[in-house]
Amino acid sequence: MTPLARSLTCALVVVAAAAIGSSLVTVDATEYAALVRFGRIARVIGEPGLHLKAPYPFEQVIRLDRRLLTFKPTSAEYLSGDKKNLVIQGLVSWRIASPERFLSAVGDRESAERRLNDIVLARLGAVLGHYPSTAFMSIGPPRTEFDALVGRVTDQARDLAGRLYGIEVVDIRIRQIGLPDQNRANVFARMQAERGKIATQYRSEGEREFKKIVAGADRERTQIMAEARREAERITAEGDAQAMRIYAEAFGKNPQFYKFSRTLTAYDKILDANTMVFLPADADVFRVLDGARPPVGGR
Amino acid sequence: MSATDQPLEPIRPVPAPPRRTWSAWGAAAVLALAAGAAYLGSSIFTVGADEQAVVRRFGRVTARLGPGIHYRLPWPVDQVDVVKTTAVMKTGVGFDLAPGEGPAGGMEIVTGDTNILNVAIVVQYVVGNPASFLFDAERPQALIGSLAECALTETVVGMPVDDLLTSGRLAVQQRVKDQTQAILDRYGTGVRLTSVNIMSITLDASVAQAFQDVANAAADREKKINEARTYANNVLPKARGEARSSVLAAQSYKEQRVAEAIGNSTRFEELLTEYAKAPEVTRTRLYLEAMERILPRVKKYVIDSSQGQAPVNLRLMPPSP
Repeated sequence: MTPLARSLTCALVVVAAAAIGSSLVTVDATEYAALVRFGRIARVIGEPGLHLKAPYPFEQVIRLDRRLLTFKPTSAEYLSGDKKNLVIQGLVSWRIASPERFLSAVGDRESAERRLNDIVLARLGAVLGHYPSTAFMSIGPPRTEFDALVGRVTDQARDLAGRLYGIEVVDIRIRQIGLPDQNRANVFARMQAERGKIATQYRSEGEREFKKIVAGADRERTQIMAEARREAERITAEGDAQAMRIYAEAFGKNPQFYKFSRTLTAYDKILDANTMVFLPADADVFRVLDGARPPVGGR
Repeated sequence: MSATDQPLEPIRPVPAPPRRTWSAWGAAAVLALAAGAAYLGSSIFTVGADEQAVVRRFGRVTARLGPGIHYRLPWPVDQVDVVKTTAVMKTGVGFDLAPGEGPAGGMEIVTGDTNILNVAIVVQYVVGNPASFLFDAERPQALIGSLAECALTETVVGMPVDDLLTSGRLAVQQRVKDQTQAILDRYGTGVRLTSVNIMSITLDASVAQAFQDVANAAADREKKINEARTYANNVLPKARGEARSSVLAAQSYKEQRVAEAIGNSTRFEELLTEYAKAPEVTRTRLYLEAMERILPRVKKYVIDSSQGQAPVNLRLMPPSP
């Protein structure tokens, strides 16, 4: 082999190796490979793996991310339907749906995000103007308006971005809702006033509850006592009645004798040392004296 | 290399023909062998007990491997990513989760009743599907944080501040977790959330005092109510005791009264039995006995009623002559 032939062979081998190497393309699971032939997109490889292509000068590879991408649009101030200012920060998740259109209309990720940003801000502004701020902030029942609103923005942005840029807008969400700086002082003042009111309300509630419980207890006590008194009266009367019945039954056997013996007992009680008694001489005590014998001494 | 190739060169007076070629080829062969061995050796890898590996061949996912020693085809054919799948990972929302650094500040949120608060939450998750986690979304960790932030905002703008500060806290955590998980599933990120925790809720300094006062007022209310309950618990048993004792008193009165009646009537009946045997005698006896008891203690005037005039001698003496 002449040196010339040797170098020629060497060169050939190198060129062949380069040609073979550049006609193979590895497509990762995270990407699309767009094959560009003289500035024009020839085809897009969506399937990950090892693929063949025309060697270097004929076809070039542009790799595009096929994963779900997220970006945060710039926060902006919006005016709601009821003229309230809201600062809204969103979150857009998107992916490249059509690499061809994406490459021809957008090119790279930065400009894609710039365009998405414009779309989202504009749509959000337009849609928000139709809703009152209570669609965002309310303490009522579950707000379907919120979802409807975000859904509308998403639908519009999805339609636009898909048609124009080959971008699939997967989701638009609200990351943060805030109030403009100039409103904050007012909000804090109002919060403070509200808290003051609530504190006062709690304290008066405590007071009221206290009185209620105490009064309730007092009333219950009165009730208990009254009931007890009634019960006691009833029992007392029952005792009296029972006693009366017993007496009546016993004494009814001989009312005269009862009268007689009871009168005697009563005298026993009525007549004490201070009593002055005028006894007729013919009183029963003396009845026996009345007759035959003259009274004897002593009493 | 050169030192071993030409050890004697400086000493030789006459330069020998270079024998470099042979030794150079040998060294190259040794080198190539070593490089080849290293190349092949690099294709053995281990997967830890808490890990899983995903193998991509020419970029295409071909295998998911569990713990153990594995072999792969060397670069540029196979690529291996190892992911911890059993360990719980964390991401903070509203603050950077630096190790050893507590939550500071948090993200600002506005509640449904337009109160401004700062909330910091921590999201914990495990990787359920390593291939999805690795290849289906860009920076999944940041995505989880952002989505949790969205879920928190969406939840909180629909509730009053008091719920968030008190009873609703757990519900918020649960809802943020469920909602974030739902979205992550829809995106197919292969992430499973294990918990969402509110680390801190802070208030602007200008209103913190007022919120504290509300808490104090609530405590005052409880205290007042407890005081009242104590009063009631004190008064009522006492009243019941009194009531019981007054009923008992009435009962004992009744018993006494009845017993008395029985006693008296029994006595009367016995008397009556005696009386029935000899009415006249008993009558007289009783009468006289009673008079005996009574008359001694009273002042007495006896009037002779048959004459109806002069009082009888007090001492029942015969009339003075």
